[in-house]
Amino acid sequence: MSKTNNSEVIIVGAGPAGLSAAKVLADTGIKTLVLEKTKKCSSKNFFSGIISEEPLKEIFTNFCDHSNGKIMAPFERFVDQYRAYILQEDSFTSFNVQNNKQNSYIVLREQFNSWLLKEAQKAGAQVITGTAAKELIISNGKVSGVKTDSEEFFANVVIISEGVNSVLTKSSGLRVGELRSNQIFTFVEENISLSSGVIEERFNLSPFNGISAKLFTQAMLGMPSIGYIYTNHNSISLGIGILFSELISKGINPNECLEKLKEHSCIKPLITNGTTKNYCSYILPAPSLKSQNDKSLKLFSNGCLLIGGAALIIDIFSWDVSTLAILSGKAAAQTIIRAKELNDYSAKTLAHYLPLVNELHEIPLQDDNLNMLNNFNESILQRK
Amino acid sequence: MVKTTKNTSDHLAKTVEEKLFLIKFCPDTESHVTVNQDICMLCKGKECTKFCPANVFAWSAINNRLVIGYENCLECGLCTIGCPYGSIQYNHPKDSFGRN
Repeated sequence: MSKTNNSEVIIVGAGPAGLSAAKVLADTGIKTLVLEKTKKCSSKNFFSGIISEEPLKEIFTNFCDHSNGKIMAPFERFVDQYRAYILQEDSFTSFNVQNNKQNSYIVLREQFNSWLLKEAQKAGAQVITGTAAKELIISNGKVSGVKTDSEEFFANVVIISEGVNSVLTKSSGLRVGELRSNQIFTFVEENISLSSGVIEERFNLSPFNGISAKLFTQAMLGMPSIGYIYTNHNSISLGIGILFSELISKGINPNECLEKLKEHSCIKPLITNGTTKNYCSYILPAPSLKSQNDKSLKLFSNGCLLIGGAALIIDIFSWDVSTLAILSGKAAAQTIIRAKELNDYSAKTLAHYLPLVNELHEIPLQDDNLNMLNNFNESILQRK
Repeated sequence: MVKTTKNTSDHLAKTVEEKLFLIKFCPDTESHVTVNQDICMLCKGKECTKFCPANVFAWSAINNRLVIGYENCLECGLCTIGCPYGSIQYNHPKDSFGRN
């Protein structure tokens, strides 16, 4: 087994959280290695999502060309409208919130993550794809690296950003026991291709403008659940997440719920004549499970930090799910920059990460529309 | 003879199997998902055969064991959480294997 020991920080997982941490670290000249298990950084578990300009453009400064304001990151459409659909068994209500700020974007995560990765590389981070980290290397009570199938990599700190389905978190002892089925939502998503003209006609959009919609499906499915639609350039991403414990007790497959949604009188006309291009599944923590209150999950240890989905720092009902993950990556990077100044990577120094994470949950978003919509989500879901 | 014209305008996939057919997998020769067959044999609910979004698990009554179609795994990690007896072990597929 070959040994490599030339980086100060290893980041496991090249999603928005991991790459944000990598970019901040590389910008300050810290030697950073990113390990990604897929070949193309292809974010296999999600296809589409919303990216808010804040806080991303502060980390990825090439996000837009400052001379002419052109957006350099690959995106599908501007979020022109936020839309909420409340679905009953055979009827629905919807409302729109116009977004005139052009400050958030619908992205296909495969293309978008690849761009983030290139930007992190340009800043000096080293990235190895097609490499799955299998376990942490722990010596003298301190995490000192990671093992893959063929190699060992050593560093002062390891950041785990594998997403919610994090194998390392379990093997490292940072998570004691499994998540429970009443603590997670199980999502399935389908990518349906349609011409851009048809999408604009059906959703009443101008070219380059898109819709980010939340579907309140509780009444339709009779289970705590939430769906979504994103209009990409020439496809629609349609997904639904259901509280996993309910799904188990009813003995239903998540795809049945997605199909029921596709047949609903509200959704069917939007996707008619489309072609299914892709299908994926992923899990997100339920809102009742705030990581800082979850005693079975530690966000740091000697030489190790958890960020993004692996740390359950994700707000399932928020309109831009990845923003918190990105901010947690930045917070971890800031913690490590401080640890480097003190030349101490023990849990004592890395504990500075905790107040930074707690702050993330406190700060209201800068966008009033999103604040209002997130409050709406919470209130409608608490009413049951 | 009346030729049945295939409805070419609508290609929306419905079943899990139709959807999995669209995905590129690069399966390993051994499974990254393992189970304890002794536990599975005693399990009454066989929940995993219902909730998995890729229908990875199927019960073979003839062989009295759980069949694991790991080649179709979408890598969501639901199985370890959903198994009431902790019988299912999930590891990431080896380097470059799995969903691509």
